[in-house]
Amino acid sequence: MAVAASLIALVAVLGMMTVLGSYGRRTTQTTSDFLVASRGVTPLWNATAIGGEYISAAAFLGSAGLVLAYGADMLWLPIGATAGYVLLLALVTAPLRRSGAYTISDFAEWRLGSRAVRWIVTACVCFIGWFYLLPQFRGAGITLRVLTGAPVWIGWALVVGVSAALVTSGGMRNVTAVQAVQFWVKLVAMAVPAVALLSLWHLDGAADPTGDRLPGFGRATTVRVETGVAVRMPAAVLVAARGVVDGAAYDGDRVALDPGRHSLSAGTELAFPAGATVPHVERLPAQDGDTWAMPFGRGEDHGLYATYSALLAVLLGTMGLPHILMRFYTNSCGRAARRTAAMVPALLSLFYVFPILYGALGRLYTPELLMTGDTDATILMLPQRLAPGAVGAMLTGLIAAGAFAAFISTSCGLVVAIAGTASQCLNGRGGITAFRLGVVFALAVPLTMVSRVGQESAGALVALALGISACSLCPLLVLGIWWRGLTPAGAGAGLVLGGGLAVVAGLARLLGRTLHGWPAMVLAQPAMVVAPLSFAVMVAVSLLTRRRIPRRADRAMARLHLPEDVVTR
Amino acid sequence: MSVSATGGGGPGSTVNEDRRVAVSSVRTHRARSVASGTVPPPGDGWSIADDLDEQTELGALFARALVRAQLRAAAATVAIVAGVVAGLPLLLDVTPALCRARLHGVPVSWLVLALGIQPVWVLTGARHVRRAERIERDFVRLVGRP
Repeated sequence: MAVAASLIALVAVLGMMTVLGSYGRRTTQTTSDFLVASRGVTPLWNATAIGGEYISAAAFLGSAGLVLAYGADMLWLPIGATAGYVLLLALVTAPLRRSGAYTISDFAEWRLGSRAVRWIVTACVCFIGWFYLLPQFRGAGITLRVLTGAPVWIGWALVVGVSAALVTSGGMRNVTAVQAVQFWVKLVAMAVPAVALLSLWHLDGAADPTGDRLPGFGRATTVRVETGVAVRMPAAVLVAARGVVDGAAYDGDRVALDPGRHSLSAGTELAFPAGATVPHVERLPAQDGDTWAMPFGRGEDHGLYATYSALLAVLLGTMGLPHILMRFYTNSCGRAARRTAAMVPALLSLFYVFPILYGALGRLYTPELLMTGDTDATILMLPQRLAPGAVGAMLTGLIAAGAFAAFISTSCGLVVAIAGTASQCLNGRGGITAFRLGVVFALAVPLTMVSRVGQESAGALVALALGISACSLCPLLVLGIWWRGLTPAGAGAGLVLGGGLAVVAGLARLLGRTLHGWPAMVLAQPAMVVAPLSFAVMVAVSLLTRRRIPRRADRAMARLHLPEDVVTR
Repeated sequence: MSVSATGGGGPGSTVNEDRRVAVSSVRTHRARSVASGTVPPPGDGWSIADDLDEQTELGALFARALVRAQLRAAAATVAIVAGVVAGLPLLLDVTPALCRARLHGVPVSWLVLALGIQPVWVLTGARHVRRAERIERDFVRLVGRP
C-alpha cells in the first residue's frame, strides 16, 4: 500500500509541475523571459521560491539522517543555513540586483572588466552546481529504492528527465511558480506527518531517545543490506543470517556476532531478536543516548574545529550559491531583493524544526539505518514503522511527495544556473539553443559521477558544494561589492586558489581517504582554512596590482549602492 | 556652448527670461567646472543628484559616504551573526553542565539550538532591512531627487 501511495505522490507532483509548466510555456517569449522571468516577481513570491529551491534533498532527507547518525552536533547546520541568508541579505542581495547583471559571471565581468575572470567564475559555478546536483540524484535514488524497491538508477533517470523537460520547456518563469508552490508542498509534507508521528509516539509510551543506552531494536527485526558494508558490533548478539557474513555463507543459520568488525555482502539478511544492540556501519559512531544528545558529547578530536569549519562553510557558502543568487535578479529592484532575502530566514526556520524531530524518532524506530548506512531514508521509513496500514501508507505518500518536490525543485534551479552561466559564456549573449545545450552539459557531468560517490550521505555532499562556494564565489562577491580596490588579477588568483583547493579536497573526500589526524580533518572540513586564505590572496594580489584597478571601479561602486530612484542612467 | 535657445522670446528679450531650451549635449563641462570651483554653484535646477549622474568629484564623495554608511550597517549585522555563531559552540563546549540540563525531559541545548536561535536570525534580518532602507531614504532626501 505504501508503494501505491508513493507512486500516487510522484504522479501528483509531476502533474502539478506539468500544469504550472504549461502556464509558463504560453507566456515565455524571449531569452530574458527564459532566464530571469523578466524581473516581475514580488518579494514574498520570490522568497517562497527561494525557500523552495533551497530545501533540497539534503535538507529534506539528509538533515534528519544526520541528526539520527550524529545527534546534537548536527543541530548547528540548520542554524548556519538560516544565518547564511542573513549574511546574504546584509552583504550581497541589494547591490547584486542593482548591478543589473543576469548571472554571477556577468557580474564578475561587468565589475572587473575581464573575460578571464568570467571564465574562472563560470568554472566555479559549474563545480558548485555539479557537487550540489550529486546529493539530489542520490536522494532520488534512495527515495525510489526505499519506497518501491526500484534500482537506484531509476531515481537518477527520473531527476534528470524531469528537470531537463521542465527547464527546457519554460525556463525560469514556470520554475518560479513551481518553486514557490513546492515550498509549501515540502513544508506540509514535513509538518503534517511530524505531528501525526509525535502523537503516535506518545500513544506508544513516549520512549526517550536520549536514554542511557546504545540504539537497539525495539522488536524482532529483519534487516536486508542492499550494498556490501562493513559494520562494527558494539555488543555480542545472536542473529539468524541468510547470505554472506565475514566471507562465510549462511542460509537461515544462527550466527553469534562478537563485538568488533564484520563484513556483510550485498543482499545479506540478518534477523535480530528484540532488544538486540544495533550494529553500526563503520563510518558512523556508536553512541549511547546521553552522548548522542550532548553537543560535543563524543569527545571527538578537533570537534570544535569541525563544528566551526562546517558552520563557516554553510554560512559563507550560502552567499555564493549560483541558483539562489540568480533568483534575486527576478526582483524588480534592490530594495525588493533585500526584502526577499529578509523573508527567507523566517520561511526556513518554519521548516527546520521538523527534520530534528524525525531524527530523534528515527533513533527509536528505525535504528537499523545506522547499520545499512542509508540514514537519508529515516523520514521515508518512519510512518510505516509507527503506523503500519492505511494511515502509515498515506503519511508515507505525503512525505514522498515532499521528497520528490525537494530534489526536483533544487535540480531545476541548479540546472538553470549552470546552463544559463555556461551558455552565455560560450556564445556571447546566449540564445535558447545554447541554453538547451547547457542543460545537457549541466546534467551529464554529475550523472557520470553519481555512481562513484559511494556511501556519502546527501548532507555531507551538500556540505562539499557549500564549501566550494564559501572558498570561491563568496570572497569574490563580498570584495567585489564592498571594496573598490579589487583587481582582475586579485579576484582570479583568489578564485583559482580557493576554489581549486576546495574542489580538490571535495574530490579527495569522495574518491577515498587515507589520512588521519589534522590533515584528514582539514581535508574533511576545509572551509575554516581555505576561505580566509582565499580572501587574503584576493586582497594581497589586488594590492600588488594596484595600478590595474579597473577604471570603471568608482562608477561600478556607485551603481551597486545608489538606490534606483537617484540613478537616472 | 552646450545649451542653445530655440525661439520663444522676441527681439527684445534677454537671456534671463524663462524660455524653452533644448539640451544638445551633456553638461559634463559645466559640472566639472562647478566641482572644481571655477563657477559658482547654480541655483534651482541643479542638485547633488545631477552630480551623481555626471560623476563629479562631489557626486563621488556622496556615493562613497553612502557606501560607508551601508558598510557600517552590514558590519553590525555580520558582527551579530558572527558573535552568536562563534560564541554558542564555545559556550556549550566549555560548560558541559549546560549540555546536560533538561527541561521536562528534553535537553535544554536541543531546545535552544532547534527553536531559540532561528528567531534571532529573523529579527536580525528585519533590523538590517529597516536600517539599510533608512540609510537609502535619508540619502535620497539629501541629494534632493524625490
